[in-house]
Amino acid sequence: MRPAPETGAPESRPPGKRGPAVLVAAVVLVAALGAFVASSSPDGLERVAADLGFADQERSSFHAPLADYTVPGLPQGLSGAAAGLLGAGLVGLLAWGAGRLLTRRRQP
Amino acid sequence: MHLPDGFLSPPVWGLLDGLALATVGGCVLVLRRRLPEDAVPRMGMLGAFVFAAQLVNVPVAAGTSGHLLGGVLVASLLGPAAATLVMASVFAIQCLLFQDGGILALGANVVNMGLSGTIGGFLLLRLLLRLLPARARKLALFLAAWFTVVGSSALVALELAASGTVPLLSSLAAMVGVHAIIGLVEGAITVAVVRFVARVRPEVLAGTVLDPQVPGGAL
Repeated sequence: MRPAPETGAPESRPPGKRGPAVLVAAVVLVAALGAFVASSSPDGLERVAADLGFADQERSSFHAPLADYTVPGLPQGLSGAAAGLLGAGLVGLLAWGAGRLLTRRRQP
Repeated sequence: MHLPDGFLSPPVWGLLDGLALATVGGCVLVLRRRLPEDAVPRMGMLGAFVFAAQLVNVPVAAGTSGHLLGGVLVASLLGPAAATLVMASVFAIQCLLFQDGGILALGANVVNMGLSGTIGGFLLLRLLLRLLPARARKLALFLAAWFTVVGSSALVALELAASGTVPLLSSLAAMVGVHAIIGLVEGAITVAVVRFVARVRPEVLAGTVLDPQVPGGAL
C-alpha cells in the first residue's frame, strides 16, 4: 500500500532525528501529569445521563484492579501518575506486540 | 463518552460486541498480508499517545468536559486497519485495568469511539480530500475529526434509545449538542499532531491519504 521512501542513509532525514524523542517525551509527560490537569467536570455522556436521569442505571459487572485510574496503596498524587504511565506503557506494548506478531508470522 | 455497563440492553451490547470482534478480526486478516514492518513501532507509540491524551479531560461548556477520541488521527497516520487495532488496544486496557467503560459494553465503546473514527472518519477524510482543493487538507482533517465526534455521540444516543434507556429525541439532542463543542477540540488536536508529524517525519505520511507528494498538499 505504501512505497518505501527511506533510502537508509542517515543524512536523508535529519529533521526526523528529534521527532520520535519529542513524541516519547510528550507521551510520558501527558501520561504522568494528565490526571492532575484534567477537568473533573462530567464528560458529555455523564452529563446527559445526569440531566436525563438514567445515571443510576450504571452496573459494574466486575472490578478492575486499578479502577478510576488509581493504584491502591500509593499516595493520592503519585497514584494518578503511576496509573497513567502504566496504562500508556501497557497500551503501547499491546499495540506494538499485535503489530509485531502480524509482521513476524509472515512467510518471506 | 465511555459507556458503563447497565446503560445498554443485552441485545444492543451483544450486537456491538459481535460487530467489534468481527471488525478487529477482519483487520487482523488484512494486516497479516499488508502491515509494513516500519509501522509497528508507530502502532505502539500512537496507542500510548491516545491513551495518555484520553486521560486529559478538557473543560468545554456549562460544566462539561471532553477528551480526545483519536481514531481519525491514528487512521490518517497508519491506515484504517492498523488504527483499528491501536484503538481497540486503548479501550481494552482502559476497561480491563481501569474500569473506564463497562466490560459488556467494551464492543460498544470500540465501535462508538474507535471504529467511528478509524473507519467512518477515515472514509469521510478520504472523501473530503477528494472534494476539497489540495490546499484545504487541514480543513478536511479538522472536519473529519469533528464529524467523528458528533457521529460517535449520535451513535451512543441511538444505542441508548434502542436499549429503552432514554427516548431517542432527547438523548440525540443532548448528546449531539454537547459533542458539537467537544468535537472542536478533537479537530484542533488532530490537525496539530498530524502537522507536527508532517514536519518532523514527513516520510511517515508517504503513501497515506495525506501523502505530501500531492501538489500543493503540504500540511
